[in-house]
Amino acid sequence: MDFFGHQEEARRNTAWLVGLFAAAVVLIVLAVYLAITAGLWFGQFFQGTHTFFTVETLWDAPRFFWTCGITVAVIAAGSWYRTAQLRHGGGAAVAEMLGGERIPASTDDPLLRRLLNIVEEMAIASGLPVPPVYLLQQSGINAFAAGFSPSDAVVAVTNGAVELLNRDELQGVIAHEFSHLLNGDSRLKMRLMGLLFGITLISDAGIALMTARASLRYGVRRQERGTHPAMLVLGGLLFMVGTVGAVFADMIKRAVSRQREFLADAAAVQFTRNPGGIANALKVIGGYKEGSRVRHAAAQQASHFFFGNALSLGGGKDWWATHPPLIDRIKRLDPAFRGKFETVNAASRTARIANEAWAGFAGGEAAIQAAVADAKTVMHDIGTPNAAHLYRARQLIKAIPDRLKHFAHDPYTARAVIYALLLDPDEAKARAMQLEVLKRSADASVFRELLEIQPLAAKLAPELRLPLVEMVLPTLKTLSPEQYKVFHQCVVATIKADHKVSMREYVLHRMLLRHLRPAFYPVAPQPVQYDRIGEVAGDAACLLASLIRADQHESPAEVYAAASALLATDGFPPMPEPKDCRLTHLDAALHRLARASHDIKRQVLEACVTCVLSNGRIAVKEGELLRIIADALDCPMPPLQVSS
Amino acid sequence: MASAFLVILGTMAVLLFYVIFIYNRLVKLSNRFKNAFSQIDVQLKRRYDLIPNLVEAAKAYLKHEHETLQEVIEARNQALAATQKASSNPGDAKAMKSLMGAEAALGGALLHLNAVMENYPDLKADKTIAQLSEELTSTENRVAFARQAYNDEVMVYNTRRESFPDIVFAATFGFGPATLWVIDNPEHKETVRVSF
Repeated sequence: MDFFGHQEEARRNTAWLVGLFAAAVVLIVLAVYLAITAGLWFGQFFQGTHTFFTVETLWDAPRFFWTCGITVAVIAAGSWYRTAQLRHGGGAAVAEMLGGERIPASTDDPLLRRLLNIVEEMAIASGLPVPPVYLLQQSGINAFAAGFSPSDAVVAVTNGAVELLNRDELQGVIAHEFSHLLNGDSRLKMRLMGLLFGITLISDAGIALMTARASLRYGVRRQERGTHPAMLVLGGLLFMVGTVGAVFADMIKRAVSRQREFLADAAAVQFTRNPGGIANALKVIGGYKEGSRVRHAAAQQASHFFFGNALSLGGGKDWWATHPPLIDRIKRLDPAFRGKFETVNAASRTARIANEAWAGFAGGEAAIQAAVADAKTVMHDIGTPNAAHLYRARQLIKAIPDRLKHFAHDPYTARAVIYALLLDPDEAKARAMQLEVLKRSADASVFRELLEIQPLAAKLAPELRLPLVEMVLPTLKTLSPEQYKVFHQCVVATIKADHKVSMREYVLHRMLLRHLRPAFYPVAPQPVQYDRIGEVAGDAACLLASLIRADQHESPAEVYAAASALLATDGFPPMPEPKDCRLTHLDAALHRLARASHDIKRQVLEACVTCVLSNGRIAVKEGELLRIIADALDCPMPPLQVSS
Repeated sequence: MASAFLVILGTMAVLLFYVIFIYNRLVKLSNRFKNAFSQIDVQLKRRYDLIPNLVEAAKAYLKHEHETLQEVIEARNQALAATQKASSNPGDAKAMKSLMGAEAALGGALLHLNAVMENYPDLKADKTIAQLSEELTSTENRVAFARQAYNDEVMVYNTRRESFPDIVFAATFGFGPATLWVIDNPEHKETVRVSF
C-alpha cells in the first residue's frame, strides 16, 4: 500500500475509533445509571423501606436524564480539554507530560549527538522537517514519536535506548517511529489520547481521590491524617464506574495500534535496509531486565505511543496490550529466531556503546543509487522512503560544511543562517538593501555572525539550501515566543527589503513559517473541504504553470497538456498567463489544495511530478518548488536528485 | 434526592477536572523554563571549556600575573560547580542565586584579566589568544540570548503561578516560584565584552 492508501486507512480508522468511542460512552452512561440506582436501593434497604426495591423502580426517566446529561458533559469536557491542550502543545506536550527534556541541538555529548544525527538523516531522507528530540530519564529501552502534523512532531527516546543500543539498532527504532509519523499514525494517536481522556477521567479521578492522602488533614483535632473515609467511598465508587471507561479505552487503543506496530517494523526495515537493526533492538529489550518499561504516572495514558510496551516487561501474552508480543514482532523480522532472549549485561553493553559513540561512525557504507526517477517511482516513494534515500540524505548532510552545520545547531547563530540564506545571491544591489535592513532590525551581534556566515552560505550548492533549512528548524523551535516574534519580523523585513518577493524568498519563508508556527501557536485542525477536483482545478493549473515556468521546456503547452490529462476532470482550464499565476496566486492555491482530499492531492502531485520530470532533468528552482508543493499538501517527498 | 446526589457528584467532577487542568498547565510551563535552562547550560559549559585554554595561552606572556590568572581559574571552577547544581534544579532560588553570584564573580575576574592584558602589547598580537577571545565574546552573546529565552519562559510561568486560582494549588502541588536570572550589577548589565 502506498502513502495515500495509508492516509486513507488512518482516516477510516479514525471513523472506527469514533464509533467505538460512542459505544463506550453509551455503556458508561448505563454503568453510572446502574451504580446510582443500586446505591439508592441499598440506601432504602438499610432504612428498612423495601418499597423501592422493585423492577419498576429500575427505570426512572428524570434520574436517567440527569445521569446521562452529567456523564456525557463530564466526558465531553474531558475530551475537549485534553484535545485543546494537545493542539496547543503539539507533540511536545506529550513528551513534556512524560517528563521529557529537550536535547539542545548543539549538545556535544557523543551519545546524544549520535541520536540527533540519526534523527536528522532520517528526516531529510523522508522529506520531513527535522523534529526536536526529547530525552526521557528512564532506564527501560523505549521511544515514541508524537504530533498532529510533521511540523509539531517530536521524537522522544529513553536514556536506556540511548545507552544500550548501538547505532544500527537505534536507527531501526527511530525508523519505526518515522514510519508512524509518515503513515498518519501519530495524528491518530494524538486524537485518541484527547478523546480517551474523557472516558478514563472518571477512573483517574477515583484513583486520585483514593490515594490523595498527601498533607490533607481533616477532623476537628486535625490529628487524623490520611484519606477521609467519605473520599475513600466516593473514590471507590468513581473508580468502579470508571473501570468500564478504562477497559474500553484500552480496547480502543489496542484495536487501533497493534496492527500498525507490525507495519512500522516492516517500514523500518525498508527504510534502513537492515532487518538486523530493529530486530536486534527488540532482542535487547527482551533480554534486558528493565525491558521497555516506562515508569511514569502518565505512561498509561500515552502507552499507545511507545515503541515497545511501556507498561509491562512485554514478554508474556497480554490480550489487552497495546503492542503485539515481542517474540511475534521479532519472528516477523527474523524467521530464524527461536524465542529465547540472551540476558543483557547492562553495564558492559553501556560501556561498549559509549566507546563506539566516541569513536564516531565508521562510514563503511556502500553507495546506494536511487532508481532512475520516473513519475511512478517518485509518487511511490512519498511517505515510504528507502535505503537509497537515506544514503542520499547522508550525502547531502556531508556536503554541507561543518562550520555551517555548527551554526545551524546553535539557536543564537541559527537565525543568522536563515538571514544569510535569504540574501539575494545574484543581485548585489538587492543584497545591499537586505543587509541594510538587517543591520537596523537584527541584533548587532547577530549581524556580525551573519557577516561571517554569508560567504559560506553564498558558496553553498543550491540543492543544499532546503536541507539546511530543515536542519535549522528544531534549533529555532527553542526560541522563546518573544524571540520568535522578533526573528520573524526580521525575516519578513529582509524579504521585503527590495520591495519584491522572489521565488527563492517565498520558498524559504513558507518552509519556515509552516513548520515553526506550530511550536509557538496551537496546531489548527485541517478538515477536508474539497472532494472534487473540479473545485480546485484553477489552483492545480496555477501550480502546473508555475512549475513549467521554473525550468526551460521545448514546448510548455505540450507539457501542460500531458500533465493536466492526469487530472480526472472535464474542462480543465488552459495554462494560466504569468500575470494570473504570481506568487500570491500560488500561495492561495497551496492553501486551498492543502484542504483537498487525499485522492485529489495524489492526482495533483502526480501531475506536478510529471511536469518536473518531462524534460529529463530537475532544475534547482523546480525541485525546490516541487518540494514546497509536496510539503504544503502534507505529502513528505524524499529529496530528488537535482541536475546541476 | 437522586438528582441532588447527582448534582453534587457532577460538581465534584467538574471541580476535580478544573484542578487537573491547573496542575497540567503548571507542569507544562515549568517544563518550558527548565528546557530553556538547558540551553543556557550548554553555552555556559562551552565557555567554561574555553577559559582554561585562554588562561593557558596567556600564561606565557603573563608570568608576573599569576594571581590574576589563578583568580580567573578559581572563579571559573566555582561557576562550573554552581552551574551543575542549578541545572539539576533550574529555577530554584538558592541554586540560581549562587549561580548568579559565581557568574558575576567570573565576569569580574575576566574584566580584571582584560585590564591586565591591556598592558601587554605582545599578548594582544598573539593569534591564538585573539581567536580564543573572539570565541569567548561570541559565547557570551549566546549565553545572553539563552538567558533571555529562559527569563521569558520563567516570566510566563511565574505570572501563571501567581494568578488566581493557580496560586491556591501551586504550593500544594509543589510548584515553587522560579528565579529569574537578573544581572543586577550595572557594570555587567551589558554582556561582558572580552576584547583584548
